[in-house]
Amino acid sequence: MKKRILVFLSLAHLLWPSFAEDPIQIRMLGEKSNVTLFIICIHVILGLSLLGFFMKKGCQSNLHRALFLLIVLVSFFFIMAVMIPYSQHYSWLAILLFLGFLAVFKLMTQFEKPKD
Amino acid sequence: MRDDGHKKVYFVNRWVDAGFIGLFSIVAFLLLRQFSSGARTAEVYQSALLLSWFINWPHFSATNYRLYQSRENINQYPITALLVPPIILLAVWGSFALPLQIAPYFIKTYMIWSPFHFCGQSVGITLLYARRGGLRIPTWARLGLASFIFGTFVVPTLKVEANIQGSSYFGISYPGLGVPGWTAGIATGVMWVGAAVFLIYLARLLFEEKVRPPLILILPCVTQYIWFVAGSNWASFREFVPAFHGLQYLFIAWMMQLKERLDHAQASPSSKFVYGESLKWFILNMVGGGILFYGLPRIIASTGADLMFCMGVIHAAIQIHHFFVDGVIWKLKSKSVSSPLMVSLKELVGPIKQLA
Repeated sequence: MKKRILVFLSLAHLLWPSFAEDPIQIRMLGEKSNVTLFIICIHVILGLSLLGFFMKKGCQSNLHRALFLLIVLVSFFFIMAVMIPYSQHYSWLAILLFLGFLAVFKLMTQFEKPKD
Repeated sequence: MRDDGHKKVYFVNRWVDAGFIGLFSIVAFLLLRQFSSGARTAEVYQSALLLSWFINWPHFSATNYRLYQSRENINQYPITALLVPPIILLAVWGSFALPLQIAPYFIKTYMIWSPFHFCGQSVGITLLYARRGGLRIPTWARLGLASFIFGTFVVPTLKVEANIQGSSYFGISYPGLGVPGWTAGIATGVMWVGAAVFLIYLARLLFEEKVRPPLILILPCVTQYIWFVAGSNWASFREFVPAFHGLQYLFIAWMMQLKERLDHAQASPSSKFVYGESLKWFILNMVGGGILFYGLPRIIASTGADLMFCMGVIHAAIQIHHFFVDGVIWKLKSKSVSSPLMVSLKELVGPIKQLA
């Protein structure tokens, strides 16, 4: 799972620059530089939260892992909201977003664990 | 030895369990195919709404009741109980503040998460019955089971997401992703491979290990297929699917509630206890569900907001909260969860009634 999510993130990062050129996104968020900055920031937050979550169990408490997952979900929400207008033009992006939904929901099944 | 295990497979008995887990929905599907045009008529909509009061809304309330009924439970899941609600409230506030920028994506998240959640429940119920039957499903067969069950959601969802026009929920339009049409074909293949893998596991049990797996193990799979694939083009049936999902949930949650209350109160098993506790639990959840789904949107709408918009956003918010809570309180790997779920009605009613 960790590997799959990291591949998804790397792919998204590699393909980033082409989005910033697209006029639709510029219309949505204003200046081109703002768009790029927003997208990069959100991805950095998402990536760091995922790394935090996947750190060994011994290093992080249940509480921290749940918090990381919450940040992942919120970050993904913003990525999805910004990217859906694009996904309608780039089918590969639509597939990535759909897989992103599945990955995030699957991660959410590991949200807080009860203390037995 | 085998008899004992067999008796414990079911919470009540094979027909009652099967009815709640999926048989009622399959019968409803067959009846609607036979006697209805398939259109979402006013009668269909009103019947589904009526069922919401008794099944669907109480099932959401039952989750909240289970989490918030004691300080002990809240302490066990502090993030889910205390931090998730304000975050969802923020999303609700965002949806009202930016109805065109936030609300459509909030609804979209809910629309994809909802069937995913249904699938999670179906997989969980299959594993639960396997455990009750003394079976430990190996990882490869579990993967096959999950591929089939989640496939029943992925296939129709991909077909819907191919349309960039999207859809609407209580009048709130949300966009489609625009996935290519061929993806649904691949997902269909994966779904059937998953079914084959799970059937191979059952066949190996039967022919190699000479163990007869309980039929209820395949019922959640069949039910899922009817809900999302066979019934997907039958609007009159689709309207009832959330109620059938709620019925599955209420059945299992009811047993759990009775067992936990019995242990907590250190009461003696009796039919009086079962009737009293069941009635109290059901009425409480019906009232709770009514407040959440009927009352809350109207209270917010009384401030001047559009009622339909309020209903869409609030219903989505309550359900997203439910997905969070459900994901944490039903972990079968946890002893505190799996242990009470091994109970049967006979044990709750008590030995005297059992003999009678």
